Amino acid sequence: MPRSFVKYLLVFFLPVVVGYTVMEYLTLGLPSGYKKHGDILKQKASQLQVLVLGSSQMKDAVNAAQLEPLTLNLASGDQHHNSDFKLLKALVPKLPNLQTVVLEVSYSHFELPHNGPNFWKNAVYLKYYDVNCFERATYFKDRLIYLSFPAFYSEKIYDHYIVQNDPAGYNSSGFDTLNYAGVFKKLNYDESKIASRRFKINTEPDLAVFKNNTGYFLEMLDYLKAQNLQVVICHIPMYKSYLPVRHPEILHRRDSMMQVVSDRYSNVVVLDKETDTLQFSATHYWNQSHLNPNGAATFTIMLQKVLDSLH
Amino acid sequence: MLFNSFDFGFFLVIVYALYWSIGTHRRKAQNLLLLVSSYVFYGLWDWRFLFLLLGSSLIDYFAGQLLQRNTQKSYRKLILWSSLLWNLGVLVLFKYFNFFTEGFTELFAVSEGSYDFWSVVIPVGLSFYTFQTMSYTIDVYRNRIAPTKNILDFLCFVSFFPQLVAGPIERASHLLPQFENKRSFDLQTTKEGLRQILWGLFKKILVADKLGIAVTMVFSAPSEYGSIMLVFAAVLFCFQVYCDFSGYTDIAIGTAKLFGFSLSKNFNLPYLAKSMTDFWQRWHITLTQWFTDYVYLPLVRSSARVTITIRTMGMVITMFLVGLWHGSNWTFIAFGVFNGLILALERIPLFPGKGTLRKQLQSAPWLFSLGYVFIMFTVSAVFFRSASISEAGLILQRILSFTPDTRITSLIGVKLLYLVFLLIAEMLTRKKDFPLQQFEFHFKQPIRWALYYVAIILLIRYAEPKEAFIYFQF
Repeated sequence: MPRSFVKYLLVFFLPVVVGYTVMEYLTLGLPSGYKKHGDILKQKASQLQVLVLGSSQMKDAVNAAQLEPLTLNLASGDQHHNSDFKLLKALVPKLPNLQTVVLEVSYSHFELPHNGPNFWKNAVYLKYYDVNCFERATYFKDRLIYLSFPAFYSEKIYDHYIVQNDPAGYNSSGFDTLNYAGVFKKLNYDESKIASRRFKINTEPDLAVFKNNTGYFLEMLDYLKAQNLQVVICHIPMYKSYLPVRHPEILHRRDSMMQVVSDRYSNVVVLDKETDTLQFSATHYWNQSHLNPNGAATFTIMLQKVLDSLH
Repeated sequence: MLFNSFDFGFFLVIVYALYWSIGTHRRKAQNLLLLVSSYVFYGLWDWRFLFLLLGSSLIDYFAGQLLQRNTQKSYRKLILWSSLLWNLGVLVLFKYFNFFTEGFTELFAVSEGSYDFWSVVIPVGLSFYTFQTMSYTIDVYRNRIAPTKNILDFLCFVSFFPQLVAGPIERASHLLPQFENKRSFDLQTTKEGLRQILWGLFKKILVADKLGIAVTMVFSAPSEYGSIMLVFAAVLFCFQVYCDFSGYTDIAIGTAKLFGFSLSKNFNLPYLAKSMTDFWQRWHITLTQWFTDYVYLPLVRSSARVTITIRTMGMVITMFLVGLWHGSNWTFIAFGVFNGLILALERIPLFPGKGTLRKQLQSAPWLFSLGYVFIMFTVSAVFFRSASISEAGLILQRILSFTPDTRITSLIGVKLLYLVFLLIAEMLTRKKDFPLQQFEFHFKQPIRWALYYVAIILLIRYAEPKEAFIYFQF
């Protein structure tokens, strides 16, 4: 291979590398809850008493800054139980004062496939939490945040730096207190408009996935029991138009599984607010299945009561 | 390791640098490097299946050696059948066992808390490399090729990483000699390889993956959509699967070029076909040729008289097997049988004195033939994409019942612009292997580089979290 060709390649790819470096730098400058969580892990690991895990529903439902014991909410969008468990196994040894772990079991949590080995948030966990969820040896690329999901971060960069339309307002615990701009706000919380609005819900029962996920979930509970940790399992509130659309088979299997969990584990408490339509109304929701900060304030109070009863 | 991942780019740079730094006079060392790299490439997905790859390679290598040493017909037949039994047995065990015996999963089901290994793990690329090794043994048996004595060359032939997991399915007569001969660095071939990789990435990331989002949305809840959207999604799926697979093939061929190898062409603008017979000569060409040579022709020739009925039956059976090759699901079988029936129909002289339907389609107005092929492939694609036969039936039923749509706009977006660009580029350059071929003859360097940079920026900008190529599962 002639040297001239090597030079040709280097000259060609140099602007690509420089361009990428700029994008990575801009990404790291974006406001981010993960960054706040990482800072808490670095600075207050020895004081943390409660760890919250789960998907976006849990992320939006618990404002950790509002809770009395020092709490870290590491729930995040699309994060399934297998990612929760990997985080748990890596973090529990680093949190000497940890007493309680809060987990999420949504309506179809057990019938949705786990995160794959290339789940893009693995890079986020590695970069900010120093947790390797790749289940393999990592190298420099695995810490590159922009590269983990370029399409997503490109939009974030555009919103934040160019149109400056980035309303995120992360508090000290990494909770976004300005996260109101969802479907419900767009519809002005008008219940008649909300009722006719379509939304995404899993109505495909999958027994094979259920078997796999529940087995895994029980393994996670066994681990937590062995660590002498209290567990709170939350069913996050869903808007009233969501509830009747739930598939009965999925629902029945989830509830049967929860019964097994309650019978088998003495360290588990269930906080079931999924069908609570009295304390949660349209103004508490971001969309049919996610709370807004207003709803989170209410739900966090409920969680506080459960935590108080445990300690 | 997916071709559209940073990991593959990193892997490729290292292997490429080592390969050419070894020196072209050390062919064996280069082959050894390719073999190790290929096994690392495959092992990074799941190292356990390296033993299967190695086992299949060794069995067919020794089958070839034994076939050469023995002239007795019955003994040669026994060797051939032993090899075929192994290869087909592996395929059946890993791909079709669950399909034929539902109880298999139960039998090997592990206890609560662990995972159904047997029901979910199918070795990546199994159908591709198994077919490649089978063709080698059959060709040696038929005395079409001489078996290689060099085990290293043969292992490289089976496991060559650019085409290991999704083809093209190479014949030993084409690829094996390339491992046996010296490769020399050629700047022009290298540039063409890089450009073909870029084109393949464009097809995969900017077209296939974007179309895939819309297609998945509709096919995951077909009962919520009306006729127009279902037709639209089915058409988009045709382009998605084309861009996905031909994009993969372009990357594979381009990567092989970087190492001085030439792989077979696998696609030839199938959407310009004038009949379904023509379509299957342009779509997944290496698979069609494999089934023609090793299934269809032996089937037809085994009959005492080659009549239209025999050929028709042979065609349907062959296409049934093509469908089955894609996976253990009735939808793939329906896809194969549907195509088989259409191909058979095209061979029958429906109107006396006017020749076969295929001949009439060839001479029909271009738009008519194009429309015919597109409709036929779209119908079969509905089976291909659906999760079950009943779901495919539901989709076709809703399409034919002209169910009105309320959500027409949700699928139409910028993503279609890339598809339109791709189709125009491919049609304008249809005499080339890929649109960027010999690019320097048409554009000066600053313009070329500017276009490359735009393409790279778009590829990075629109990259989603890594999606697997559709054909990896086969």
